[in-house]
Amino acid sequence: MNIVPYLIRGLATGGQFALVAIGYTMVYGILKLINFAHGDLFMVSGILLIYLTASLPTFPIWLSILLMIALTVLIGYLIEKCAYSPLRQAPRMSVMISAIGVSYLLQNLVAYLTGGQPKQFPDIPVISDSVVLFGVKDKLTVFLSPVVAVLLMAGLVFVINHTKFGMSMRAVSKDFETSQLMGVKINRVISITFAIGALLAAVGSVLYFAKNTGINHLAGSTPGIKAFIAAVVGGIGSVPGAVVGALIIGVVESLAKAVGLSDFSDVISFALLIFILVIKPTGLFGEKTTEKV
Amino acid sequence: MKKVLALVLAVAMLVLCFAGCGGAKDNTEKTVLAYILAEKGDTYSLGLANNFKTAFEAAGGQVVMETFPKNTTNFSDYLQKALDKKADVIFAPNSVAVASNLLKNAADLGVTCPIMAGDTWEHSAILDAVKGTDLAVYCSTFFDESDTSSTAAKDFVAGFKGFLKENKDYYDMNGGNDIVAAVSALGFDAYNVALSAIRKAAAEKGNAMTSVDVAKALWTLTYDNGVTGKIQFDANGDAIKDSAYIKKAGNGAFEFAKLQKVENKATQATAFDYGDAKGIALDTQNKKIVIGVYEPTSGDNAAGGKQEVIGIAYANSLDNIVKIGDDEYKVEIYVSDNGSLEENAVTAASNIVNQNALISLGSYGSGVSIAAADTFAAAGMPAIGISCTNAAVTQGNNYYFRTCFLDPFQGSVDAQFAWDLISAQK
Amino acid sequence: MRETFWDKNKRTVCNLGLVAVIFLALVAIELFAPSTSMWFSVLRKVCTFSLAAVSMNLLNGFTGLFSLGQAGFMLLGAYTYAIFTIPSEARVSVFRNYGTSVIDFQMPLIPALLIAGVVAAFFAFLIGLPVLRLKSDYLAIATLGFAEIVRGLVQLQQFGPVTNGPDPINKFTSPDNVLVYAGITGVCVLLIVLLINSTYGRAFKAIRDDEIAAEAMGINLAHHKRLSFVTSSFFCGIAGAMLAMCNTSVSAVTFTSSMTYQILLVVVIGGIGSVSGSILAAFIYYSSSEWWLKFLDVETFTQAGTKVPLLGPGFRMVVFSVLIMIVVLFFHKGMLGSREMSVYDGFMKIRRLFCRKQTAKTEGGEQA
Repeated sequence: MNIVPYLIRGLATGGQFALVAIGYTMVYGILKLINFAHGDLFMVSGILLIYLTASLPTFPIWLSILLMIALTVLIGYLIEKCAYSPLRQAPRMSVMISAIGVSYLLQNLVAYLTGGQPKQFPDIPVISDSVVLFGVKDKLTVFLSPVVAVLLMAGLVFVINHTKFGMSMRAVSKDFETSQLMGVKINRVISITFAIGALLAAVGSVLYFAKNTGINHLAGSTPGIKAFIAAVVGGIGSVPGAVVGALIIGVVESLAKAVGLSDFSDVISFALLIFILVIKPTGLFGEKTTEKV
Repeated sequence: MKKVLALVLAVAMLVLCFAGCGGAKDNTEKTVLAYILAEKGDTYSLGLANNFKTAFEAAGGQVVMETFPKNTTNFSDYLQKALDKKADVIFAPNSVAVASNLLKNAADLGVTCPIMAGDTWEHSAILDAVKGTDLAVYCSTFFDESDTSSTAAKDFVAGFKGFLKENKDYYDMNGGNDIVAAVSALGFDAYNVALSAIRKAAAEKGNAMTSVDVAKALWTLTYDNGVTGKIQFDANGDAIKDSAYIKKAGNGAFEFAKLQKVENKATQATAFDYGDAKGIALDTQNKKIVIGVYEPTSGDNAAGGKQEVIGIAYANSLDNIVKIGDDEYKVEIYVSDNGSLEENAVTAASNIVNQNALISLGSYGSGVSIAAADTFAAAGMPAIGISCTNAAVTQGNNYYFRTCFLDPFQGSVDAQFAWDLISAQK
Repeated sequence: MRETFWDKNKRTVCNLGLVAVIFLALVAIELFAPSTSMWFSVLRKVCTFSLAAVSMNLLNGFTGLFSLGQAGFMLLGAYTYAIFTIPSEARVSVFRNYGTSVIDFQMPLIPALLIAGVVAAFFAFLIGLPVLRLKSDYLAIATLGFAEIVRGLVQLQQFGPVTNGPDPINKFTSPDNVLVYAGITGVCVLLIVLLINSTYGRAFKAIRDDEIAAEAMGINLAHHKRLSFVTSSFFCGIAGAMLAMCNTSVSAVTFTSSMTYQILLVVVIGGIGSVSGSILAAFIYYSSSEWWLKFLDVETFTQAGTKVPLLGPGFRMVVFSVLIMIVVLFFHKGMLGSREMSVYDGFMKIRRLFCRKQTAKTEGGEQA
């Protein structure tokens, strides 16, 4: 059997998930919060583009996409401001519940607006075009996704490691309170982190939904949970880890289907997750932390 | 020690996951191969898929069957498998929501073999997905709007289109077009059958009638004016059907492909004794009769559920007065959304019971119907399934009836058609 | 002064009185409500999820172990219960796709419930061996993964003769009587409360408050964590069995992770670490989502014929999630915090409030 098509599509899904996973991993790194709403933000950005192109038919598509990305970033920022930042002093469980609440709200709002029916994502020039590469026929987005994911990751890693803002991000994730004492504007760092996460999710959503065109209110739940697994497998808090984890998850799931394990396709990524957690509790790239008394 | 144990356990879990692959050895020497793709945990999808499999293998074909988990949106890997195996036909009996993604993926991959499905695919979303592609998509269904052999059907089609034109909301619910879906026709028939049963029960018991009397009346009822043909129920409570329509998704419309007839030896049921079951009494105070509509208006099957609701609403707009004794009773429909989810079934059904409905119509899907069956039975309320084709819906439940054909029937019709289609091509 | 019996036990007595009142109310509903009332299906669900929430609270609220595997354990309980209580004659029709069922006898309700709990507890023990070593969120993720794995595996055709594969199981014993549900929940919650108030319970709370300190005090962490995890899963299994009873059919697709989140929401709304809070929250949550807010989903027309704006399918869930957000943001300790509901204290508080008003009034009078 020729495994190339499966490999390519696995990398594509992995690349798309990676862009979502980075959002999870960055937020967790700083706030120690599993941002359950992130997958739904991904879905909302897809829905936004559908409504934007439908209501602004005269706009060129790239302008709509830029507008959609800006709106998604705004929503990501607002979610943090309204739902998470008032709970900074509250127990961690409350923040997580707030995240679940936001996720519910986004899903239900979209279900109400769309009537629960899948909407079709518009055709996007170039990336929706059909091409044949390596003997595989599919949309260009499939071949593009892993490349885009790795490039964006490289850019982000550069920002984190070589800029002043990146330094403050690292400081905040290392020690929240001390960095505050050292003059880091914590709220700004957190807001920007959410904005970056939302931005990447928006880019990911264009790549993802160009291939999987039907979007309903649950369209974000599978990518969300898979991306989250990827972030944990890669070592939550680590940006390259999230990307590597996502690519692994994508390829493993695709290959599982190739070898006839499609019945287990939903189980395999979770089994992989537990396996990795048991042998390396902080994930592949995670730092080992010791608890101090 | 514990670490080792933990590791062993984790490995064991992985091995368990891989254990299933041993069984599915494929023998590629056979000539005709069908690739079946069903949704895990979906009663309708798996029921029809398994029946197709049985019938297709009996005809001498070979079958590869795979399942995908709920909420899957990317089917490329599954379709690639079908391409690798050089499948002659793909059979994918799934919901409309799944279908549009699946068909888009199929177009991306350049699938050339025919793709077949059951009654769910007769929806405008499928036409949209097929538009501008080379896909050959077929589905089996209960009714064809271009079949003008019966006057009842002809009148229905004309009236229904007018009804959609007048009511913008229903027009939108129908997917923004005036295509007459088979499930709308079935919903129309189910409402009229229900009304006939209520009238029959009223003729016997007057205003002392209860929902149990309606159930009793259904067993021996013959409804001749059905737009989907004459309706009588057999000993299971299933309408006795002998024909199915196969349609091809063309450019902007479904084209009639074939009328498939299968002999049905079932005969009408004899009267059924419910003993001293109490049931729900007629509302003599407000002079109104409620007919519950138990349908998914949200969730995966919302598209079809809504079409059934439109059919019922149209029937209600034509005929909504029942005379019992000297009083006129107004018939109202009460729509309760089951969200296409089995976990909502009992609540949605209880909502209908809470409205003191005499009978309930629906649902579109089989799983939700099975899950609600006990609630209706406990209330002594008959229910007429509209397009729930899984055999288990009516089996062993004396309150559940249905107006459509069953999966074993549909599966064999589909398999036969697929077989003929492939033979003709080769 | 010697404490009288009343002084010592006034709170318990008052609370027992409340339980008795609730019980009588349930009896009254069971006897007098019309058979078509929504009370029945809603109360069955409330009882079921009360138990699920209390068992989750035992783990999350009292032991501080953050687990998200509830749906998985409920699934195990539901399937076990359903498989063991199908009447022999109905087995052929339920398992018709797989010939027949491997298990071919019918059990009475109570033993089947216990077995449901035991199966869930057994799996909890197994999964606990590796995952209980994980810390906080990692434990949550691993248990969430476990629940998804169970859900995936149960649906496999290969397990058909046992689990009926992906097809739903129905026709098993499912009592209608609300009192049965209330009884099971009552007994289970009582057992959990007894456990919480025992030495073990105090050890759980110590672990929750500070793991390292607890270990230093000589509490065997692994043992107590496992005990809490297994016990919680046992009751989760029973809650799953009850869910099977009130849904009258069991299908793996029901037990999604969003069900776990729902239970977690109930726990948090009621107050993490409050048993009575969980029950109260379950009551409010499920009766409003399944019943009281239902009208929001129906398009309504005023008498003049104009449509009431916004109402329509799906609007209920929007309102509901906004309400949840309000509760989470403004009452982030939940309704009861970590306290328990106490009729006596509540009564005293009201009396004090009332008395103060009265004294204020008399004082005002004197001044004038």
